[in-house]
Amino acid sequence: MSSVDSRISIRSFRDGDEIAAARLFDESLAGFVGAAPTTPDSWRRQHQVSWRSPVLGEDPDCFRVAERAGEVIGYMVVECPCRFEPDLAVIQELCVADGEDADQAARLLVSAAEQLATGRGVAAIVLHLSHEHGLSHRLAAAAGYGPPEAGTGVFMAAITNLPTFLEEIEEELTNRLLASKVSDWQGVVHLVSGDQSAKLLLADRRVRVMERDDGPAFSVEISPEVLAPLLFGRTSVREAFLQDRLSLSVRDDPAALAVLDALLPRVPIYLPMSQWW
Amino acid sequence: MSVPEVRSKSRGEWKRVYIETDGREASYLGYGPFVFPVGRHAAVRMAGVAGVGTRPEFRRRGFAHRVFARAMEEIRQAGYSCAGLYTGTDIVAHRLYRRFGFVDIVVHQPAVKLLDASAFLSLRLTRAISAAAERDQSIADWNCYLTIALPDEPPMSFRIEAAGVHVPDTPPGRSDLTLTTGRSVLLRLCYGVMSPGFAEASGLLCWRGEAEHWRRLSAVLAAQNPVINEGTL
Repeated sequence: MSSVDSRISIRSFRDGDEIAAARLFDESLAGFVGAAPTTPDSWRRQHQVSWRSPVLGEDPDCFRVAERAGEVIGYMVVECPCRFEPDLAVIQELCVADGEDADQAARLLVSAAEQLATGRGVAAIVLHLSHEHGLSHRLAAAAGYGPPEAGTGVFMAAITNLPTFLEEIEEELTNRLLASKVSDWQGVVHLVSGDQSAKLLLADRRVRVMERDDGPAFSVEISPEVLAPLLFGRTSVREAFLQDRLSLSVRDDPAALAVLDALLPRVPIYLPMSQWW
Repeated sequence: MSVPEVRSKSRGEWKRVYIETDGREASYLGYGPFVFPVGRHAAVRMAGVAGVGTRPEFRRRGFAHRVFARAMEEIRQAGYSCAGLYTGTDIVAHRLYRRFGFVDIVVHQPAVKLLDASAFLSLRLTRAISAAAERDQSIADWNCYLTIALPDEPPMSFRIEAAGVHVPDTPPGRSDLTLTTGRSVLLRLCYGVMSPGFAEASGLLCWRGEAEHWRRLSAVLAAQNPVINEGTL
């Protein structure tokens, strides 16, 4: 099964395509929270054992690639029909290379999924993509998909050890600080949320979790219900502050809020279904 | 009556926490390690919780609460910095998870396209009506010509009879109930995530015809279980 554009062709997945798929996946989702980086091996493994995704090798038509001049520039994974909703097909992954052909390749891949669904007697199709991803958002609207529905499926998280969490993301925090206008700020930020607390030392343009009990430059009281959303980039410091769910020991200090803004920005999220558990 | 103890066992990297009665697991969950990226330069070690459940005959005894409390204690002891799970916002367990410090991080927002609206509606309505007919004889005996009008499309005709929905080969020339609404509202109604009463009261749906037919259709749609993600249950 294949459809052909003047420059881009769509075909079923072949052995070896996982090299391009893993690269496209990582390029498309770089900087997103939630999508674990993949290697060709891990990409293949995820699509061979996932309880939720079509299985590579069993149904090759559910895995399509877009090719231009022999180069894979996009791929798509569609569950058709959906195991839990047989009257639906679900486009679970759609990744295309940046470039002038990106929209066209994505549209052709979606069109291939729709043809597959129609051919299999499936009456509706779902795009399970991030609405925070520009191309996905444009594509959904252009291809006639309804506006994102506020569904009832939800991913929830709890912070069980704040100091350990912050230690695990020290490098990310340092990079965020370096990319900000307050990269030279020095001091200690004491984060307190319910019965958890941790201190961050910002010095020499680095962020580290402190173990010794030095006095803080300022402390931040975070309501437990916004701790995880803040740490996973789902709410901003300003939003939590305005909602009175975050307070600072130093009042009227724009530098303190700027430091927190830099360390805990809002970040787009995407949880690929092949990585659900 | 003695209170059954909460037990825990390993299955490779996964742990299973459960309460057993009469040799069967009455309440249970599993958790295991996942690498969860937080930006370009870091990932956290997350305990992924899945397969949470309590057999119906053992519900309302606090079993799930005790199993979850034990699992969260083990997760902390094992040094996980965080825990995550997939669930639905409309099930009782959502409240349980919140009690243990879980908060909604992202609500999935799928975008939907109807490829064959008529086939989709007859399938969804048949499913909803046959489920309702098991509890309500008036639904089982229901006969109705239904018309659904969506913007920019010819009206679709359906025949409801014998607890099923059929698409007539030829337009029936009559309609006992006609609904006019948008695709998005219709999808929400079909998936049980919007109540018919709300759609009507908000002006998102208009109907004309016999009130009794609308009452039955509303009851059928409102009685659906919303689509939820049950994880690896």
